[in-house]
Amino acid sequence: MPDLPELDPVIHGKLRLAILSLLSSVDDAEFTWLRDKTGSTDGNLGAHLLKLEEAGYIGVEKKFVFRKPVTLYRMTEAGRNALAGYIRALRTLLGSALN
Amino acid sequence: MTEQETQEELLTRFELVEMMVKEGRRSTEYWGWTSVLWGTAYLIAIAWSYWLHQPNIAWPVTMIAATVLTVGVATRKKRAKPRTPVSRAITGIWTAVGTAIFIFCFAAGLSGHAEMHVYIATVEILLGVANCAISMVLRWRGQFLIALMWWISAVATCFVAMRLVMPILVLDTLIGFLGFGLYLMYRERRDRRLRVQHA
Repeated sequence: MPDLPELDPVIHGKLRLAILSLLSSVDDAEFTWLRDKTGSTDGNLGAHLLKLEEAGYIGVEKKFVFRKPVTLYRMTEAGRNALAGYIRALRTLLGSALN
Repeated sequence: MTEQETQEELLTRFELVEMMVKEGRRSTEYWGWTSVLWGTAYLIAIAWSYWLHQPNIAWPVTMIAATVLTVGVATRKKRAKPRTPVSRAITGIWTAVGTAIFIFCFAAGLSGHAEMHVYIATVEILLGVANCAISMVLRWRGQFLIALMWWISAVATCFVAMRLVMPILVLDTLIGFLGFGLYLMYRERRDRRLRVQHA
């Protein structure tokens, strides 16, 4: 019997998985947009974004637009590979349950 | 993966990924207002040129004002909205075509070598190019019809009498910019309403 794949613990949490999935479909996104889409609180979202950043899965850019601070998050290549690997592992684990 | 994790939990994760990816893709930007703004700018420039006989001032002033307004409003509207590959493609097409039209009009107008039929037909051709490229990006036939209208008008402009050149441009502006822009805004509003209902 083949070994079952491991699920990446960094993105297995629901909020972190939601963040990475959202970022996979856009070039970059602001903190407020991610907060609205995930329905999370500022503190919770910030903590999970930091975890993803530390893992190298997302990149952060801070800038000013019309003198207002804007924080942009974008997925890195490592993040993209991690999400793809996670989905592959999920498919393998779920097998026929997906059909 | 721990042993307690059930298949249902994994399925939930899978559905979450699908839902969030879909949600990200649905974050479309709204472009109708730019069409209406540029249509209005064209009409102002045409009217100013026609009644005040100042085409050399009317066109640069209205086009620069419209550009400043577009960039300003778009930057403010973009706040808290993600950039998507589609929005980048559309912005790129309009920027490239808009710059090309500006350079051509500036050089041709300044040199005085431009014959009015060719001048207007070139602008119409370029507007057709932008609409055609966007229709391909969005895979939307409606916008391709607008491109077709600009190209047919460009051909017609080359052949018609001088007194018909401007009316053709005005008609195209009313349909291709104002009418189309208002239609886009109507669709966008309907789309927003549907999203609220389904939320």
